[in-house]
Amino acid sequence: MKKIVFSRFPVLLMVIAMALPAAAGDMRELQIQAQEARQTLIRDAAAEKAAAEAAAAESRARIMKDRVSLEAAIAALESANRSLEKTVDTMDAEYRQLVDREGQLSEKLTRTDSMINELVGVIRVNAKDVDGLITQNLQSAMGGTPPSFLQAVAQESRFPGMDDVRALARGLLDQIETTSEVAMQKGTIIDRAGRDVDADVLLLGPFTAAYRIGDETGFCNYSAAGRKLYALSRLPTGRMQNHLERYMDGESDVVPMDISRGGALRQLTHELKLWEQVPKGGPIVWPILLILAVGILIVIERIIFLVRKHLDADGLVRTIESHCLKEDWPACETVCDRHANIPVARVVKAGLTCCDMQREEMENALQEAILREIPPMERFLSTLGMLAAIAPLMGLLGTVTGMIDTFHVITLHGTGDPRLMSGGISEALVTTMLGLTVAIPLMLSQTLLSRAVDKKIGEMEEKAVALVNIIHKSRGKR
Amino acid sequence: MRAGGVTMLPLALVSLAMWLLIVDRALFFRRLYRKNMPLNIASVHLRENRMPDPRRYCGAVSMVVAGFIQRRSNDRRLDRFILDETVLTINRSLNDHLAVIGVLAAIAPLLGLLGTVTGMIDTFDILSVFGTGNAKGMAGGISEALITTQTGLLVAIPGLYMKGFLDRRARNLQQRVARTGYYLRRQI
Repeated sequence: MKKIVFSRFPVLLMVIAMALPAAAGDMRELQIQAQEARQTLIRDAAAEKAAAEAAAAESRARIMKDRVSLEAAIAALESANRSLEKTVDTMDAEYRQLVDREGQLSEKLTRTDSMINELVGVIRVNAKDVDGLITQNLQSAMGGTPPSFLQAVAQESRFPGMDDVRALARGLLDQIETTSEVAMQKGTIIDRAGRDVDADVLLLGPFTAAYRIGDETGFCNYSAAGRKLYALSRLPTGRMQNHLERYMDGESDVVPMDISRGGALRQLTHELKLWEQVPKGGPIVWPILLILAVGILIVIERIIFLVRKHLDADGLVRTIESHCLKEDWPACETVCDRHANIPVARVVKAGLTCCDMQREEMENALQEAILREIPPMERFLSTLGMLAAIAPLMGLLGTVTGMIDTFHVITLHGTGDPRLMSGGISEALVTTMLGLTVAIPLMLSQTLLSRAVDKKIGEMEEKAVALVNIIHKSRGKR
Repeated sequence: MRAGGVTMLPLALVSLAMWLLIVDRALFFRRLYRKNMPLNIASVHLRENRMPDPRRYCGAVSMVVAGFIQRRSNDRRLDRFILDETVLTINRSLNDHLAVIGVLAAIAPLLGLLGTVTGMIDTFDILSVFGTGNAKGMAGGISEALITTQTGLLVAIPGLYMKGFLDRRARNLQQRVARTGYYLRRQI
């Protein structure tokens, strides 16, 4: 571009010079001057041209030099570029390789991760199991390591390391060892009044614990929450206590134990004694108990009466006979007076007072005396029989009222919960039971008592006839 | 026996007592039935004032004869009354224990019923603790209920039968003793 400007400049000047004379008046002078000016201009132009050419050559040389150096630089850069591209290629290849590798490795990692998770899960489940086993075991109430590490593992607050796994195995082995033991040791338990006391504690494996405080022997229950043994609220039966005591003293190798781990013992606590069932029978129970009380009073009164009025009638008649044959009437009367409060003797005495009479009159007098003795002997017996008959009827009445209650409950609540109905049912059953338990002994004693009274009356009749015969025998001798 | 619970003990006692009395009475009546003395021989004994041989005759008639001979006076009129007395004494002794056997037989089913009720109470106790789910727990009470009822009936039915049998036999013997009394009265 620069070159073009330089080359066009003189042409422009020439055009301007040729145009000027057309405007001038003095053409000649003007031409010379113009000629001169034109020559100077040409000279200047030539010089300028030379200088320009020199500068151009110089700049061309410089440009050439620059170009060469630039080309060298380009070549260098291109070679560098090529090597870089090569590096990039190799690195690309390496990158792809690494990506592949990363893929493989992450796949492997996920596999391992899931395996570890599974393993941790198994360990946690087992830790929970072992923890439950240890806390449920009543032997841990008597010392033993607290299983806190297992809880931490089980509650996912800690990653189970190899130490924990070892501790788990150790705990499990310890459990196996201790649960196979039957041990008798001193320990603290909560007694039936709720106090902590020291007692001899007998541990039968993981099943049952029994205790002895002084002369009280009983079973213990175990509360896993407090890790404490506490005595059952109710003592076992005497037979069971005997078994336990003899086992504790080493005299026997039989011991009652509860293999249901507390279920049977809880059932023992729920068991009701007879007198505890009585209030469950409702209002009918009290009349039945009243009947029982009255009946017992009557039976006792009658037994006392009969025992006090008992006499060896055969012996009496024999004595009377021996006196009669000697006709010693006062002696006969004193014998009878000695037993003045005994019916047989009174009857015999009534016979003796009329010993002079005819046979029929004597028999009448004796019959009268016997009839006088019968009412006090039979007193209350018919009442007793009536009570014995009423008692089961009262029980039946209680049964019916209990069933009515039950059906009320059924109409209100339906049959869904048998526990609701059990109130009425237990009333029904308890009253029936009480009615029968009262009726059976009353019935038995009523029969036996009236049998005894009948026997006494028969004895009196027999002795009366015997007396008449004796008296007539002695008269016949006369 | 153990499955029946507490009621089984009185049941067993009632049964034992009842059967002891039954056996005792049955043997006694059998003795009175067997080796009976014909009435004409009895009158011979009476006339000769000879005690009957206890090895040959041990029936009801010889009992009357022996009892009478022990007590007799030699007054004919009085002897008739003494014979009446003997018959009365013997007939009274025949009814011994029969009422007790009857009441024991009557009590046995009541005891069985009592066992049923206690068994049902057990069952309902378990029902109120565990609900209806625990069939095994309830089975104990139910078996108690059934076993005692069964035992009570087993004791009562033969007992009542034996009571009837012994009653008949006693009445029979009483009639025989009374007949002997009337016959011998004529002979005196």
